[in-house]
Amino acid sequence: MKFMKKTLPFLIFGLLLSGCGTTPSTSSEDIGGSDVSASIPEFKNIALTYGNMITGADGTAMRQLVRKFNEEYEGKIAITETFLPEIDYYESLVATIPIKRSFDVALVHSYRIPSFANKDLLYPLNDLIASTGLSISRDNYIGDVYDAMFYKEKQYGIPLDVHSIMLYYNKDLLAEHGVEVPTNRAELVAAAKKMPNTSAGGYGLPLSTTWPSEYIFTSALYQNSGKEIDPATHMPAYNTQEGLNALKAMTDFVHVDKISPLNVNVDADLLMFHQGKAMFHINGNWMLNGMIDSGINFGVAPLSDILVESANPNSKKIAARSHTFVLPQGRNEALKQKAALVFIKYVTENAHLWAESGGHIPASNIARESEEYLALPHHQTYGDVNNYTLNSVSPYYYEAFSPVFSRVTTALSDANYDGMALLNAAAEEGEQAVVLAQLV
Amino acid sequence: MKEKRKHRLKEHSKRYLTVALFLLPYLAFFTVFFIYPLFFGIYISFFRYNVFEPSKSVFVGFDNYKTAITGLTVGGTNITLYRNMFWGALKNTLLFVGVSVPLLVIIPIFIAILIDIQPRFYKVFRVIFFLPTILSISAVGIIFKWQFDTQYGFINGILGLFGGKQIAWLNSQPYAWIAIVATTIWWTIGTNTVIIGAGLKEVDRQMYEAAEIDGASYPRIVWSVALPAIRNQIFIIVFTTIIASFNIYGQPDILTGGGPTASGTVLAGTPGTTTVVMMVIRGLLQGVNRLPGLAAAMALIFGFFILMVSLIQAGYNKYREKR
Repeated sequence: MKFMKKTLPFLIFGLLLSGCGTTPSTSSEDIGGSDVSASIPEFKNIALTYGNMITGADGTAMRQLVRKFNEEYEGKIAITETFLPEIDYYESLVATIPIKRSFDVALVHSYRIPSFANKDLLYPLNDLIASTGLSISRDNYIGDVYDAMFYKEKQYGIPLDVHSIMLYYNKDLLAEHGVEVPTNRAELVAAAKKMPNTSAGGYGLPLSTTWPSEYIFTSALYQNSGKEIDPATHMPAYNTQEGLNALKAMTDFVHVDKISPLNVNVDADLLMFHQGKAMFHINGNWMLNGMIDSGINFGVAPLSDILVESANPNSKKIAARSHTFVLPQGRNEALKQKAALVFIKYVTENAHLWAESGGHIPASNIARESEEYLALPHHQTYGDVNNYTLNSVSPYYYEAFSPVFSRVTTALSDANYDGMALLNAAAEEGEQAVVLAQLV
Repeated sequence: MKEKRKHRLKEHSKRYLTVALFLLPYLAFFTVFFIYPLFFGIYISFFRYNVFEPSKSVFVGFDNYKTAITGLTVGGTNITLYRNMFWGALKNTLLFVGVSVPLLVIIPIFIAILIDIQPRFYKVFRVIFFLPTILSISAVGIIFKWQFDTQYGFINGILGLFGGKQIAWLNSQPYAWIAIVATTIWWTIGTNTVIIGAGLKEVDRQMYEAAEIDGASYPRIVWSVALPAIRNQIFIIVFTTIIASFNIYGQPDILTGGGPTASGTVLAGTPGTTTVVMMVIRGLLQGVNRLPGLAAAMALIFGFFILMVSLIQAGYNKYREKR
């Protein structure tokens, strides 16, 4: 009796707690069109906050995905989305994660994962994914992209998409000059030279000196078998002959082939393409819907083999980034984190909406194999998704690599540039920046 | 007697309490947004400050100041990058102050004098000159980015009409600076024009008439009567414009992104149009691997420069008043 008196309150308390929490489900549940293991808890009114930097046209798709998820999971999981301009968004993450007041789920660019993980700002997902039994694994996503989610052998992200730069072409101008869609650099230059290459008559390939030159240079670096950094030391590795070839591959369009005018400001190249004054245009896949809205008769092709003199084992690579789901460090409540994984899986597997609205390539195989995705005409001409290469993994990637961007701009503006001097100067700056960053 | 003193004391405390209550909101904001950040900035400038785990910050003495002023050797690496950036950005800031301040003072004086004559539609002109001031720098930046565009810009369009060559306003020097200064003038002259205009309104018209009777020409009247009469307003706009110009950030950030580097220049520390405030914010306070200690040290050194300039101005003002 005495024993019962002592233990009864604990038993009642325990029962109450189990009522408020979760009951492991023994039945299979359909999440985002796929079967889920029995170890997924049964969710009841789990409220999650979700932050992202999707404020552009693709924001419509993100809002739609969140709305659809909330409808399907009504009474179980409710997502409240917050979206901010990119700089403010990352500032908010940096400010709120350390005080454990950040979002339950966040979307970040893949290249930020190593630096965030290095500062212990992200929750490692390996055990969490394993504990839910959700089918989130390398086999379900583009392999290389999934691999880029790891830092020091721990997984920190789940990729939503791959986004990169594309070669847009004006179908009318190609037909007018009797040329085919180019598949390598020589074909591109030959086709572009058919244009008058004057401000009145239009240009073959106007290139902005600033944007997206960092994407173009990185792609050129990969295609010329170069690399941004040495992964072992985190130090710059682009001041090499390969780096020089990459720089030349870009700047020759302007200074040698003269298929671009000098000193094109950002977006002026896009305007030329919209106005039918450019045969080709290099820009992100995120501009796809803008192109459709402009009414121009255009097509899209991958940049494989375009930024290198001749084909080689790396010449099909194109520099890419990924919008990636992460769980910021916080209160780390297991139930909420499991609910977050369910949400992430749902969005990545229904990313055909995201692809349609933002022009992106879904990282999930399920999304890419969906009927809706296969019906998107331009996406089918993006080329082999495995060619889209994410950057080298380093927490000091930005410090080591970013000094080269202003040098690329200088080289694009100045026909008499000294390529190796520019790359060496950038590498020297990068090295110093990495040394200092490593001390903090 | 005691009663009287008590009453006076009560009156005094009542008056001081009223004053204190009025001052309190300002003092609270001043403390939170100026005093505290200033002292916190001084404190972290002596640390390799870890924003994520402040307890892991390392005291480094004057290392951040050395990094900014002379460079620092870490291991075998001589860190000169930030020194070069700081001095380069400071040079750029001083160049901007030196070029823009005279223009931002002379042009508003000129416009205010013209408006003071009260020509037809002078009220419309007054509004037109003031209107850009209410725009945000983002809007102004986007407008002028296209005005100065190499291929599509209005300016090159006009030059083209007269057979001029295309100028890469935002991609080459010194044109990038010309574009930034021109944008700043368009955007900010309104306030100075209003201050000078208000000063001119206060000038006794009889002084103009007397000078006219004495045979003075209009330019002479302006030089010898109007300008001396508004010297206080001129001093105020010079003072505020210098400080505002030191803090330039938005114009180069949006128009040129801190570029372009001088043609053929490859060394660090030649930041095309990067200014100190821009470098501290964009270069040192973004991303996870930020360097707040170094940023604070640079901001304090820069603040010291501005303080010196302000003290010189204040000294001149004192001398002027005594004269």
